[in-house]
Amino acid sequence: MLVNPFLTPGEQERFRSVTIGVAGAGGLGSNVLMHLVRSGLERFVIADFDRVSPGNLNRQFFFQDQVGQLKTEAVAENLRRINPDLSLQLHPVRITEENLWSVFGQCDLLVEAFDDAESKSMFIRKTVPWGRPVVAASGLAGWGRSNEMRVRKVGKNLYLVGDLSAGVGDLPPESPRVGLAAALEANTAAALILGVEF
Amino acid sequence: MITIEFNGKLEEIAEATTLLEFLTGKNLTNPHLILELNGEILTKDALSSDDSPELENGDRLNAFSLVGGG
Repeated sequence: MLVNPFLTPGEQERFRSVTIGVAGAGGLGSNVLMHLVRSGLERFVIADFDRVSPGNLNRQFFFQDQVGQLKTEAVAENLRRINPDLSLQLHPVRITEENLWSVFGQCDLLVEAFDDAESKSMFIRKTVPWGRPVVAASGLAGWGRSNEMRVRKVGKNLYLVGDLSAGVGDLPPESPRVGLAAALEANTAAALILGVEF
Repeated sequence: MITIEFNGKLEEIAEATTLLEFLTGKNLTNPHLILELNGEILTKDALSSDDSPELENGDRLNAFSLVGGG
């Protein structure tokens, strides 16, 4: 189904042909997915072991009646309300070094959307050598300082979004700043797929 | 002394300083650092005491902290 009437036929074809892997379907992942589905992308691999909790609703793309559901199931339901024709591969598992390749090995571009620094670090170190674009986030907690959120290209294929300093150990994760980071991740992924400047 | 560029700024350091020694001196203790040396992302081994490479004159080093939140 065509959800984005502003794409050229070439862009539409490009967006429909790629598979995006999203590791984590929380504050970053659920919002990255929402943006990419609205943009016209249709094929995703989504992994998250967690369930929707009441405390997630301050920033994550879920609703009150989804509390208790697996995030993979809940996000799939919400994304299909935007575009019913999506191809979604859902993995309600914890991502480890061991299952990373079997879950995401087929993806053309990877989005890191975990919440803890250790998982971010593991994911980046293990996927960057695959040579495909990896879009990751670090530093998105608190309020304000919008202009410190940016995208850096690191090495040949890592794109790092955020302010690199505001962690959830010190500051709360809030919708506007988490949303900014998610939108920057989605915008970077879309630009890389289209081959325009990130 | 040799000169390297660290996070965009020139710095003079002693010859034969290893990456690990340099970062320890900078108090960069975040265990989740992404390091980029001359445009390449380094693996974790670059920070093990056995395999940490010596920095060379003209090296460009960048360190990016990974902090939690998502």
